[in-house]
Amino acid sequence: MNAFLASFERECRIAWRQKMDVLNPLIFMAIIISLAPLALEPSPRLLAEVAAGFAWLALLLGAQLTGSALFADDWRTGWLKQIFLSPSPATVLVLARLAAWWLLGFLPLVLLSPLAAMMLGLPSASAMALLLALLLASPALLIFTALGAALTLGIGRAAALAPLLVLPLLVPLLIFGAGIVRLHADGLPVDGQYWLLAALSMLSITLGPLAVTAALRLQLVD
Amino acid sequence: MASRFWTWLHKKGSPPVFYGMAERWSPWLGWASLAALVVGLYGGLVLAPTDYQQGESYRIIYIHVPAAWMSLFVYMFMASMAAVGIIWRLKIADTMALVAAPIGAMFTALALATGSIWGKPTWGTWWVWDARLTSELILLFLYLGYIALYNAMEDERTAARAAGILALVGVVNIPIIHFSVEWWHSLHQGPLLDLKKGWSLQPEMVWPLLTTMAGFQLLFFWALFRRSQTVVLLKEARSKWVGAMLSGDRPRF
Amino acid sequence: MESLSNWLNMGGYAAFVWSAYALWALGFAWLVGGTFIGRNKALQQLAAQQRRAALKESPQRGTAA
Repeated sequence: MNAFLASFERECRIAWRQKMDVLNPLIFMAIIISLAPLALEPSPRLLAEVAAGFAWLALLLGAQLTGSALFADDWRTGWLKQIFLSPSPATVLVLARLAAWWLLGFLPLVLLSPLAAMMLGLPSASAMALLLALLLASPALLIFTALGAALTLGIGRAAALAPLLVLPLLVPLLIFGAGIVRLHADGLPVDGQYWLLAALSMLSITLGPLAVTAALRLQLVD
Repeated sequence: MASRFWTWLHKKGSPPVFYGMAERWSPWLGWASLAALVVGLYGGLVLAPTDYQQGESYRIIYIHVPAAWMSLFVYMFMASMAAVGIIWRLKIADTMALVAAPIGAMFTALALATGSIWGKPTWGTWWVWDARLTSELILLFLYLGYIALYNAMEDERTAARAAGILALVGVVNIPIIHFSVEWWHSLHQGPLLDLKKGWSLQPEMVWPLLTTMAGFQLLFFWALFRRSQTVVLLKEARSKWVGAMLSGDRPRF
Repeated sequence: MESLSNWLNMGGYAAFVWSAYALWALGFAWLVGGTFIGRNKALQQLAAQQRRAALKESPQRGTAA
């Protein structure tokens, strides 16, 4: 636990120093959202209807940008070797890195997307449902993104490949997450869907770091 | 006990032993598959009666359903081989997983294409966002991701391991994806007909379907063995047993 | 003869049924053909490799001929 906290604090400081890595996905997401009225038509009714879905898409794509920064410098700085040599288990250190990135890289994205959806005309009650859904889904989203980043770490032109691997796996999050907002707008109960998202996130937190660690270990073999 | 299993596994998985086993089994698999396909398709296209609801168009089922079944089966097979490769470091399991991927992708694409062709006379359009078609499409993306990841990596061992991890993550996710897509589809009950709802096959229609399914299955294992043999040969090109085999009798069908 | 054209017509669904089966034939041709082609290529490659190795071992055989 101590190793986790110490590592978490260190990761937070490092992530804080690389402000651009945190800011880029935010800007990217804002751009995608502002493209929506341009691509469709600026009729308030249509935009309000697609707002939540668009916010979800923008978040999924924005998250892919975070992915490419997640383990970017770790080859050069030797972090990759260190985590497997360190006395505390590598999975714990990976989890600390992910937690730091969730706090600094993902939380802003998650907080921004309901705002963006409201700019498209999503009613504020629905925006609250959207925010809660995004919050519950974000750990799973982060872990899948990290997995894609870890698997493609050794490949030079990885940036295009990782989203290809990860996006199909995000389908359940997207379906339940975007479905919640629609059901909520129709006045239907959505508690079950919240629990489902939470369960998916729990599953990813328990199994995901193992897979991410295994993928990182691969990069050291050769 | 465990160690005996380990030795058994590695003996069976050693390249020459695997090669010999595949050599013995492949002709049987190949011919049996051909027979099953000929009989099944004759039964399906000629003997089976016309369906009173869908007319003759239902005959697409004899390739569509086996292809859809194989698309899932091959993924499960691929993931279990990847697991064996990762847990027991068995190279031949890695090889079989990698060889299976493009075959599975072909079955998936075939299921999608035939499903879409079947949809046209039934639904009146080529593509609907039906639950089954959508899950099948996502499965195709999973296959393509796996193949892309493997091809992008230079080192063979690393590539096999990385792709294996992806296959395992995929296999955990497939039921969740399927469930979520079903749920999503139930939200939007449109005016569309479900292809299979309220429609059951008569017994004379069923046996050809089971036969073509067996034919697909056998052909998959035939191609799997033959292609794995090729990979093994190239990997082990410098070993003694390959040389001895090449100067001896030549492998047949 | 008439029953054959009747059968080919597939009750008016000929275009759908046969195009589906054509795609199937294409897919299976790739599966079977690709398997054979890959195998033959590998065998040829190995045979060439073996000839080169044999030549290296006994070069006088190459010059004697």
